Amino acid sequence: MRKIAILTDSTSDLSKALREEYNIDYCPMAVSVDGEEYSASLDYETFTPSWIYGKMREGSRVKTVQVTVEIFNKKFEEYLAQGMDIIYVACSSALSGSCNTGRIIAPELIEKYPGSRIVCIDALASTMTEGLVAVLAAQLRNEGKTIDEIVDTVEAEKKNFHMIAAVETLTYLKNAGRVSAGKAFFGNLLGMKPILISNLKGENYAIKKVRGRKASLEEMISMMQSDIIDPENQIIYITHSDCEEDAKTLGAILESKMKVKGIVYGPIGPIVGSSVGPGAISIAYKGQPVNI
Amino acid sequence: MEIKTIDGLLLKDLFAAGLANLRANEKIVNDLNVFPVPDGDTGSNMRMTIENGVKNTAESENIGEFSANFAKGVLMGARGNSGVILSQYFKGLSLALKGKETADILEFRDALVEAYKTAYKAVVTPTEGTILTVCREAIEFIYDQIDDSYDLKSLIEAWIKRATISLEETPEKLAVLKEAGVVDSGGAGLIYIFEGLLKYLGGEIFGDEAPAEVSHSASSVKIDFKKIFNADSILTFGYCTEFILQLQNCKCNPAEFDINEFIAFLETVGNSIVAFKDEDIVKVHVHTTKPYIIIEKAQQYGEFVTFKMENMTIQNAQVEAEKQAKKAAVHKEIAYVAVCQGEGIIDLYKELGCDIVLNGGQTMNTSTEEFVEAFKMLNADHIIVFPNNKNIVMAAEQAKEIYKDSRIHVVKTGSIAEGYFAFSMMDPDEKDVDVQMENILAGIDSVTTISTTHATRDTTVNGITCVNGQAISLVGHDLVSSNPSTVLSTLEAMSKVEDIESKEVIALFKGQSVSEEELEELTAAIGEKYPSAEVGVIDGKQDVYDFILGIC
Repeated sequence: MRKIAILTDSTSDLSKALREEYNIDYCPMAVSVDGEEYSASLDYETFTPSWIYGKMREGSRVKTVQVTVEIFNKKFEEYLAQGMDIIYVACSSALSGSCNTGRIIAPELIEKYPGSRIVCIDALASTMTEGLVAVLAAQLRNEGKTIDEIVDTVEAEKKNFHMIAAVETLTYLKNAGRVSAGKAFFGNLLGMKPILISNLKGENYAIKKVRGRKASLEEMISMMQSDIIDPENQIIYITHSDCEEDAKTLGAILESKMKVKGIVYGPIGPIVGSSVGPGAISIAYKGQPVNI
Repeated sequence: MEIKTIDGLLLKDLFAAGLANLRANEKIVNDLNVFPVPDGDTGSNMRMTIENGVKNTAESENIGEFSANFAKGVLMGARGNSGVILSQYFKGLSLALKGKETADILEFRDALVEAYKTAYKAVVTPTEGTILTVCREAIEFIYDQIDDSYDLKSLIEAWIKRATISLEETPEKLAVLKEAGVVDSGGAGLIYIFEGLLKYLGGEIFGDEAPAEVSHSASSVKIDFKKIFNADSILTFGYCTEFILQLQNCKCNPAEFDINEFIAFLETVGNSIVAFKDEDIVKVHVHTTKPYIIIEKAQQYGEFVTFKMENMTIQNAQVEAEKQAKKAAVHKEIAYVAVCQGEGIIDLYKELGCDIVLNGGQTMNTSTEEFVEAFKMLNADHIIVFPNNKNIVMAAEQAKEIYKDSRIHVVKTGSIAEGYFAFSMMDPDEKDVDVQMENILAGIDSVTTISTTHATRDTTVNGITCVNGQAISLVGHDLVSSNPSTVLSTLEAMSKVEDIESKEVIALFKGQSVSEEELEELTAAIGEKYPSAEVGVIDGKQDVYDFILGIC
């Protein structure tokens, strides 16, 4: 049986430790700040989080660049050349064109490496929720499942991974065109903190508005309580953009409400961070299938 | 003259006299104000409430019928808490008189009991030391002594005597009254009404001294009659014609005038005829397209005492226009009605998606009828109401009981700030009223309101010395600070809000009378003292209040 490489991209927000633990690689996207491009390393090797958020606060034009054909070719060939097949767990197609690009170039590469397979899975999520989908694929691969078995299971279960996020403001997401929000989220929103989920279409969907930061964190946990399954055996991932204190507060609220196997904190990566702006906090976990 | 039987006609005159006497003493009642805060004056609220009954109730001999119609009128006119309680008092009275032609003294006594009992029911948690205590004790404490020997005058005398004792005792029962050194204003107003009844029975005649004022409750649909009836129009509905004819000896023999013959004549030129003869007076109501024939005929027998004629095409158009306006309103699952004052605040509500914003508030309490008129303009399954003032909540609740075409939900917002926080949680896309109410109620949770205004007199409240005209601030309904500077008074009030350091949001409504400099001074101080709070300034342009702050 051919070996299988699991790849994801810069929006998965997987830490180096997790990538090493599960043997997952990623295709980097890029960030463009005032016209200058920087590779979006998940380990913040090219720039620090505070630098990019500082730029955003100053009002710099920060744009993100999806995985380029050049990067795909380089990354995929790295594994194909070793005689491996590839499963690419991509950022939600509602947020990035990367999945589509991957699917377009795959046939050319397969032609170049006869007998190989490349499967692009649309995670229909981003940040650590996409990361958890990639981790599931890697776990199945490590268990010795075939590529078809892995793809079938991941496709069937990917929307069991939830994202709930609280943001300080929807402004950055609106400017980036990466939020689906009803009328309730426009106009005079004094003190209002929107809560987003990743919906069935893979959009960042503004589902609720809550007055005050603390209340929004509490609401996140109560939403999570309503659909999480088997929390005692789950590690819960909390990621944040430049608001570690709030992330810890969220963790404390979580621990006061339910028992979980562990909580892992980490930064939101540069791509997701560039879309949501500073002050966002997101939680990823496995639960009942998303139904919104 | 001893009056032991009361009919509808007498009751009408009695109530008119009650209104006249209350009006004459309105200012005295208004001045019985607990707080040195400008507010909806009790005397005016009660007067406008009962006035709506007196003005809009047709004469009827039948006491049951008259009192039921009167109660309906008063109910619609109810504004302010005292007005709502008063309207329920009259409702109770009418319930006890229902089905009666006339009432004797014992029946009237019992009706006064039913009246106060109904008034109590209007209040969720009745407070003693108020109008409720006065109207209860006034009849309960004399109940056993009233027997057949009493006539109406001596019953009312006894009622007033006992009510006055209760009124004087109100400060002993309600600490706020004692502290302010006043008796309960609502109780005083009720006694003035009863005194009017007594004066009437004593032979005093009240003129119709109603001040010329534009009624707030005029129909909300304004029509230009030129559009309905002009040079090209054709008369379709005829004229509603009403007159009273004095039969004259020089023209006929009044005793022999045959009303039936006259009705037969009327039938040849009109319809909807009501006509009767009372000795030498003939009263006529008829719809006709040719009134001149009737006038000519009637004048053969006598002369007109009164004459009224209205073009029914226009009358009808008014009714139709209201129906059309309602139909024209797009059907919605949920519509919103809010009461507020201040151009900026009204605009804000409209921007946030409020369907109807009624201009009202602290000094102008919205009446039940104004709410009902607003509801009529909407075409919605559910209407959610934001009274935004504790004195308007009851009128809104009463309107809810009356209006049946939509389900009404009253959010008991006690201030503009609470209303703002509640209303901004509304999701314009939400169609499920239960979910929407949940959204909205979540918004009021833990909102503290600070309002800064100016003292209306020198007094001491809660140990705080207020000087007439000087700034005073309230946290909720408690006066907590006073200062020559409106900014410093507001800041001092803020420091008294529990847990103020941990508050996250402050909505600041700037009043009409404060300057940009004062606003600047206040926001700068807030920024320095409470750096973690997000402050939003809204140019509310409200009067009465320099600043209204919603903190949560």
